[in-house]
Amino acid sequence: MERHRLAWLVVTLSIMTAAPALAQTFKVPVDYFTLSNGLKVVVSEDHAAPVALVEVIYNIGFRVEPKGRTGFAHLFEHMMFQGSAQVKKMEHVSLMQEAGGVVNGSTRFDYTNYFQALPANALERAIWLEADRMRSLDVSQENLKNQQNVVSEEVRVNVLNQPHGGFEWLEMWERANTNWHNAHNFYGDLSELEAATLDDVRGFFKTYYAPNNAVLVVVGDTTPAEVRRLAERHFGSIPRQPLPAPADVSEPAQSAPKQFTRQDKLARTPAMAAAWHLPPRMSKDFFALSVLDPLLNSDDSARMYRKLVRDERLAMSASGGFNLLGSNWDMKGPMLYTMRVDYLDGKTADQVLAAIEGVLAEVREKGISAEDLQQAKTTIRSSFLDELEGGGMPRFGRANLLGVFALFDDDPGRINTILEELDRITAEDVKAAATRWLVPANRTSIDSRPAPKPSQGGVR
Amino acid sequence: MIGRALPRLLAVAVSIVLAGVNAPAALGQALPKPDVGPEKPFAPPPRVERTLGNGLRVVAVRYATVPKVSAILTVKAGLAVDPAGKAGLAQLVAESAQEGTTTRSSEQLKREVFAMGAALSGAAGQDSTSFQMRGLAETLPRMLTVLADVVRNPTFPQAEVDLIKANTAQQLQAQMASPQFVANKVFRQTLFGDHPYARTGVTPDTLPAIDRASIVEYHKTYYRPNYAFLVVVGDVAPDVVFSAAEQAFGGWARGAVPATKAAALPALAGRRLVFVQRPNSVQSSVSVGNFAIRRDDERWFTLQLTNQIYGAAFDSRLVRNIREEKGYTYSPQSVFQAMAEGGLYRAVADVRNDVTGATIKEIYAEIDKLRAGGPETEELSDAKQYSRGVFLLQNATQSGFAGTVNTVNTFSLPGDYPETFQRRISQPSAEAVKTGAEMLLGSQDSVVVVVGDYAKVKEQLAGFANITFVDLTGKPIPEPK
Repeated sequence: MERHRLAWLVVTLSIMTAAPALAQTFKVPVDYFTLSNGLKVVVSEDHAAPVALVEVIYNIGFRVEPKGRTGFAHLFEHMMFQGSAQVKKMEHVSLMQEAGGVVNGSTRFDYTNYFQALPANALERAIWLEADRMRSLDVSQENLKNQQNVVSEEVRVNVLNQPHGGFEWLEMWERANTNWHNAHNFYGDLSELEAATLDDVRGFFKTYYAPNNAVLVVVGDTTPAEVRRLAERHFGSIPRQPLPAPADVSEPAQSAPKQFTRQDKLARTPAMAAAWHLPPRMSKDFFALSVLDPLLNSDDSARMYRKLVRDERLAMSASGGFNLLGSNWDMKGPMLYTMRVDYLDGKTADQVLAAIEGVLAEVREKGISAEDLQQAKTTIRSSFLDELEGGGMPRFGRANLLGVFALFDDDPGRINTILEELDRITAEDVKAAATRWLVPANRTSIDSRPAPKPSQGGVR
Repeated sequence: MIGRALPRLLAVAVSIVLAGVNAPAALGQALPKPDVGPEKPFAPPPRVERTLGNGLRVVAVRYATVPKVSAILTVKAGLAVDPAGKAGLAQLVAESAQEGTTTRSSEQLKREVFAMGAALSGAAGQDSTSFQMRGLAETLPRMLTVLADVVRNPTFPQAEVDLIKANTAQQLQAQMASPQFVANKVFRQTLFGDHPYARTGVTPDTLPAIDRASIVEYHKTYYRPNYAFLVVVGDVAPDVVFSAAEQAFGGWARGAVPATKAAALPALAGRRLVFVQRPNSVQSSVSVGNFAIRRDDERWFTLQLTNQIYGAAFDSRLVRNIREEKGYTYSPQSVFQAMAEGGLYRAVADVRNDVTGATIKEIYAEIDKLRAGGPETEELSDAKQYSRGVFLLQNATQSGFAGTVNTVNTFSLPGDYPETFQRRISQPSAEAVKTGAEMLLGSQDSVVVVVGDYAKVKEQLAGFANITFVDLTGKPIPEPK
């Protein structure tokens, strides 16, 4: 319904839009098909270099991990490297390395992905490795214990032993949201990580790691026919599974600002974070705020940086965006527009919040200029091209976009039209969306200050 | 993530087998492991080079992965030539050059970069300072105009210098809270002593001494076309690059750059442990390391393999041991960094407090094992294959290949480095790698740095005779209680 209305608006507006900044003249090839067991397969041929990117993306993220098992979706990701019927512990990594490839995985809000960047001649081996673990994950108590230790150290190195400990996303999601799915500790409480059992691992695998709950993406120096042959050959016989009903991850509307403080034993300088609930993915307001985002928080030309760091001298840095773990496009459930500001000693979080609100009020009242609109769209197009080429590993960004568009929208071809959808946004749309969403009543903020220090003999 | 984002490794090519038999899979049945097909040749995109009348070398590479372009302007002076007492000056020059020129205010400059959809950054390393700009291919002439303005005509307005210094002061405080930042800083300080490579940037002591005049002087001395080069890689024809480069940089005046004298590296004697007291730590950040070689040393390829087998790759001896067998740590890694005058090797791991001593013991155990026995035959051939693959991956993007060309020029490596990499990384013998291990992985003479909470790990360090203590700034303190 919403979709139809949007399409109509889009047609109307496009007639009025002059000189599209986002005209998607560079398009990537997209071949898309589904195996009989429900596995979606996307191929994007690219012969610029003799490399390929193989990714399997599963429709399970940390929002829907089991209650009492915070951090489990991520722990499970580690278990996917601990062996399967034909592949021993760590052998997935060594078989890729000896073929010249690199391997990783990541757990996100609404999906988990596994990927390898490799010389194109090793393509079949990567596909075989992914198929073997989808078919036959093989875990032992010893390996589970080992990875519980490794993940505990990961939580320590990235959270517990770091100043401010990622509070702008880990604590923010717990504070800003009310539905448990959105409001629990995604990295996991150490005691709940320790409590995970082999049965938990096997049950999670059986429930979510099915071909009909996943997408295989291959980008690079190959052909669609070759990938189809390899996908059929290695994944074709993995049986589909009944899938659970989707969890209700909806988040009720917020009606008043929320403000929190925390003390940090490791920090030496203060920081604050603020977040606003965002409109649903692919709605008109979502596109409008996607266009506004680079004007607010991209580089040193952006409004937040200029206001907080230069004009008012409140902060040493300011950053923000739709998704601290990914992009605007790769979340399906409720999202938060989040900012983190490391502010100066002697200033307060209230001053920072007031300055941020000043920037947003100006957008709500005056909107943005035609020039701003055009420049924001140019910046988005430029960044999008970087994503298509690289994104951390060569072609990873392209593979991941294709994967999420297939997984969430059943339409990987959207990679070639999404900029046109953004291009239809007008300055009026931006103003209207800011007025609906970037308001104090929809905001949560956290002030994170260094804990007062007891005197420590000679040590600062 | 199961590991760090992407290895900083390299490398080449080898053996091969035919693809598996093309038989249909039985229902529900897995097929056996397919062999890896023959390696496809990698033909690096050709570099076209010209030198402008003022001595600026320009390297243009057409690489049409996407309609974008990367430009890197490198000045061959970095932190190592900062005057005594002004460590970090090169960094502040690079930062403040972007804050206003003779024709553009800071705000105009940044807005112009944003408006064309580009990104600009500048950073000083030990041996060089690089300004990187990336944008849409059709904007290259405008990009180079801005890039040249920043490098040639910065005015270093006093107000902008003051703002950068004020923010840097607080940034230093914030960084001191990061155990990884402190570990790197204290490790280099301990290893390199009085050599300029001990520096990692501005410190709370040197910041007040760096004034506008010293910034202007550094810029005037080193930012010269005959002491710089420009690398442009992207979907742009070399002719377009050269004419835009001539337009933007042609009028840049030459200058006589003073010759720098390489300082002697200090000698290591025995195992030395420096403990950085960081109260409330729930992990120890452990570093163990030694000196390595210059970047242009012939043995670079050998040591690259040694390091990879030891601990740089995910599947390496150190990671298998202290992560996958013992579960001490999430992110162990060994780093081999070769610079113009020398290099370093450093194994790092962040581990829970109660395995701090055990981790140091295992790091040395793996070092001693590789020094004594060298690599297994298959381990070495796998490392070579991995290096070749990673080299392909690193050079499969415009910015990646621009980085490779930049490295070649920074360290005066042979011009055919991209073409010969795969062959050269495939050459070292097991014996050479063993010899490399004896040199790279110093055991008896080495430096250990631990950032942590001393009271929680003190007993585990009883085996070390030579322990000194420093605070988070690297200054000596008495043994913490």
